[in-house]
Amino acid sequence: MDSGRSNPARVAAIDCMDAQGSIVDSGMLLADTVINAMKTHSIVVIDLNGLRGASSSYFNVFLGRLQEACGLGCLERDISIEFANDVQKMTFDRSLEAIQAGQRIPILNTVPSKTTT
Amino acid sequence: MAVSRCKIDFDVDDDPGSIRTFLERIEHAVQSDPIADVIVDLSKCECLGPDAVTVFAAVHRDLARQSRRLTIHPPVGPPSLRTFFDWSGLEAVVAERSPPDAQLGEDFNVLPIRTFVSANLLAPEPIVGIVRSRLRASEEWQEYLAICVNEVMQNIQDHSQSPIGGLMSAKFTAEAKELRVAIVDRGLGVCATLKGRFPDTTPENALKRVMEGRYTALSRQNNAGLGINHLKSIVQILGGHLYMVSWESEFALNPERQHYNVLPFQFRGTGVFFSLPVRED
Repeated sequence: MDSGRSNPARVAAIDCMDAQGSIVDSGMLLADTVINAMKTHSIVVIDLNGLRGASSSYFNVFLGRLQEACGLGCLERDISIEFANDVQKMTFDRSLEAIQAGQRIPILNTVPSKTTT
Repeated sequence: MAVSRCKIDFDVDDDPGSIRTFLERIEHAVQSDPIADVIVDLSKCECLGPDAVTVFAAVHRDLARQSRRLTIHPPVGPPSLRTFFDWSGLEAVVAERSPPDAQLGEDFNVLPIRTFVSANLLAPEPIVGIVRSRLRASEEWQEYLAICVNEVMQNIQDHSQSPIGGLMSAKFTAEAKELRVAIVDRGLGVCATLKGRFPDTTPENALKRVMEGRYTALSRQNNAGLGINHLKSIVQILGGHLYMVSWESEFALNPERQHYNVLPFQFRGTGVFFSLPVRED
């Protein structure tokens, strides 16, 4: 039996908040904590209760880092997220959609064009 | 020393028309002589909101950087305006003093002008606090508000290159159960920022692009072109008002309609002004 699956790791986003730092710092901190937890547990539960004002950038950074480390497939396979409210979930879903779309929408992948004269 | 004078003898409420005229007068005074000090006469003005005082504070900081001075002749009345003028912290900003704490009154509560350089998860809390002290705003509404504030702050941090950072203030009116928030910078503006990545960006389409989303200057890795679109969506969901100005570009949204426009003048920076009706538990 997989003990990591029967005893999932629990990560509270509020504990990964960089109170003095930027939103981006907090998003990175959460991602790094989750990635570390995934090394020892096959299931990680992320608790977003108590976290207010998590903006697009927070989830962009979190998801981007997760994508780098293990691919977005881990969200369905290894991670369970407890949202504090529907607004938070909406913000998360928009970021996820943008990151997924970034793999196929040129706007998100385009390298800025340089014009020479 | 040369002086440019500017008279604001009308009410600057949260309708785009009055804010636009206000911005035009201020910028005319600031730009007509590039070395002159600026004197603003508010003695005949009877209504000011957080939009006006935040712009004043941003202009003051910007002029100070150029070794120029902004002097404000405060409004004579009515008493509620004098109270708001004092509570807004504008006097403290102009005198280079620390802003006062949040002011909680009978008719309205005020978050005095704050300066910021980066978006922080705790930054919206004082704004949430001036509402929560009077009403049991729903948790969902508080979340909406905090996200709106953070989306704008994040944009200023990532893209604006504002030499004064960003400034914000807020006012909650108890009777109307309405919160008004103003966030202003003196940075490059949306059009110039997007142009680096999308050369066909113009003052006509710049704000449309960020409002519709997915256009990002990619100034930072965390950018996906979602923030301002998210702000707009939330204001629409809550039935609020949004007015945004960035150099010559203008966008206005109310529950009935929205429109984009090119201004006949330049506001040197970006101002985001929104109001939200408070939802209670």
